[in-house]
Amino acid sequence: MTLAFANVLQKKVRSAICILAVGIGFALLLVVVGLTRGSIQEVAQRIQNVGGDLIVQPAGATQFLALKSGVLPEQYAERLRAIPGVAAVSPVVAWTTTFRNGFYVVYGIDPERFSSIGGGLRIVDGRAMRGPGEVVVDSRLAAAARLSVGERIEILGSRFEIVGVSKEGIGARIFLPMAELQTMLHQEKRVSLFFVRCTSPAAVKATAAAIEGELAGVRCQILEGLADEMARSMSGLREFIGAITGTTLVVSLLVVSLAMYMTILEKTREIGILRSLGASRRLIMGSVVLESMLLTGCGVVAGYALTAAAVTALRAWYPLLTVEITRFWILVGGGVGIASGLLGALYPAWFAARQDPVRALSYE
Amino acid sequence: MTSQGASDVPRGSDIRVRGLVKEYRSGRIIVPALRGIDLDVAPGTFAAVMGPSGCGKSTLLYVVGGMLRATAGSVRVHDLEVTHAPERELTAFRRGRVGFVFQRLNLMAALTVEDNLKLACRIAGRRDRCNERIRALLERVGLEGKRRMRPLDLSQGEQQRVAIARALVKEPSLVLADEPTGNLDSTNARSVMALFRQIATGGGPTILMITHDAECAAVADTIIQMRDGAAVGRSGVHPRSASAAPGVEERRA
Repeated sequence: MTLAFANVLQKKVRSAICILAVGIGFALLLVVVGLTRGSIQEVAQRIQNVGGDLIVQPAGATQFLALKSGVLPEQYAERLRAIPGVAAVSPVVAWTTTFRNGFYVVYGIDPERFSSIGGGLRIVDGRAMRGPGEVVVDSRLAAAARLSVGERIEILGSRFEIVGVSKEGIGARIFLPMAELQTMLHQEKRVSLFFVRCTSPAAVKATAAAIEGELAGVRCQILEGLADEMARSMSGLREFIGAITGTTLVVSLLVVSLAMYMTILEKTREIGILRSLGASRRLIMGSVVLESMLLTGCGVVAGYALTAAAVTALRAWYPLLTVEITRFWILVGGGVGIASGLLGALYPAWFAARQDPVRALSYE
Repeated sequence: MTSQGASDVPRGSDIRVRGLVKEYRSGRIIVPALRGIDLDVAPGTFAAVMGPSGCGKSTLLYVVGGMLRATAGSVRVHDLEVTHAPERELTAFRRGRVGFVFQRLNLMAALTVEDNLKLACRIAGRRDRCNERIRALLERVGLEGKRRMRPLDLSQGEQQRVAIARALVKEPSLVLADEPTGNLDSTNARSVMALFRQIATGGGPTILMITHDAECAAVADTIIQMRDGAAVGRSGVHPRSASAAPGVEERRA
């Protein structure tokens, strides 16, 4: 332990490069996965925070609600309201827009019906929109874009006055009157989806089945577990995360392996000394692996620090991005780091243990 | 033929070499290094091996220390048949019974003087009274004030004294020294040889020392002359003390 620790401290530049390389790989893994999962989780959470139990949308539609316009007749709201188990219905037109170089989801809603589903917009400043030309933005967008009540902004080519700021995390970041958005999109009397609140949690599944039986060509999405459903539905997401994880493992492994191999070459004479002192091959292998594990262990710790710094920087520079670093992925990242240290040291350790002691002692 | 693990070997050294042959191969070329050496070193003897460069002195030392395999012949150290012992027994033999001192100092640069000695203790499995032995040895070699320094911060003479202390810290019964004064100036060389003499006096380990310096060899109890891979002569045994002045009365064996 002393020798491995002393070697790490003695070769400061080598150790620092190795630790940094492992740390960067580790941080890259956590941040990329955190961003991917965070974005999905945040979208799902916002949808769930509307407060409904179900979303009714055309069969086969994506769970990413903004990726569609008005496709369902608005009068389905009355038919839905009449189905047993349905307590409240809110039609929503979902669309996307670019605003100040950002990509945002816009909900066209009727504030009163939207409130019947859950807590509504939860206005923190100003009021909800009452008529045409009015818009409500959520507090996160207001903070990021420095928007305030009374300001006039352009959305989808039209000018709107900000009449209120809603609490972040509910549905979309921009809310327009539903009728106005329908007109702007040339989708009069058409909506993207319906939020449905059921009479009780126990009635959710039965109500969903009843809706699908009553209205042909629609699908009910139960909002509980929406994030997992969305992640599953994104084709290639798992492969993408797997590729990032694998790349991190391989790069860390190669860096550690190269660093340890160079160390072994540098320390050939010291291996000869250890052999002359009676160190067994197993002890020499253990010493090399231990040194490698120390390096990768420090790399993992450095990776945590880099991840924390990267997340802080991302939140400061891109306040609308959500990075979700879960305990599971912290453990996976640590495991990948430690595994790279172990696997990367195996060949150098084997190489060191097989050194001829007399030749090693005369190594220049 | 029987071989015993180092842990089974009784204390007290005895080196017995018979018909020892060592050849190095380089492709089809065979280079003989040792050509059938016979040699006996009694327990507790300080023996110097002298001879010109390339005569096989170091090869002899490494074969006796279990670091090199002989091509033919027999080397028995204590009760261990070194030439035929399996690798694991040779490792245990080096670990428990042999202390090496090299010409090129060969200390662990990353470790302090004290940690170099502790490492030898740990590898030898001699953790009992390790700190006491280290303190006593560093005092003996005059480096008690430098135990926290790293080897590269010491002079070459001091480094060699650390190497000697490291060889002795596990209390070996055999010390093998390969040109221990080869890199030292005459003052440091005399100091190191005085230290060897002191070690050899009064029931110390058997010492087999390679040197091409007659003045250093003269400090030993007995001098074995080598030429062209063979032992060609032996000087007489001299009872000495640590304070004995250099200058050798040599008698052909």
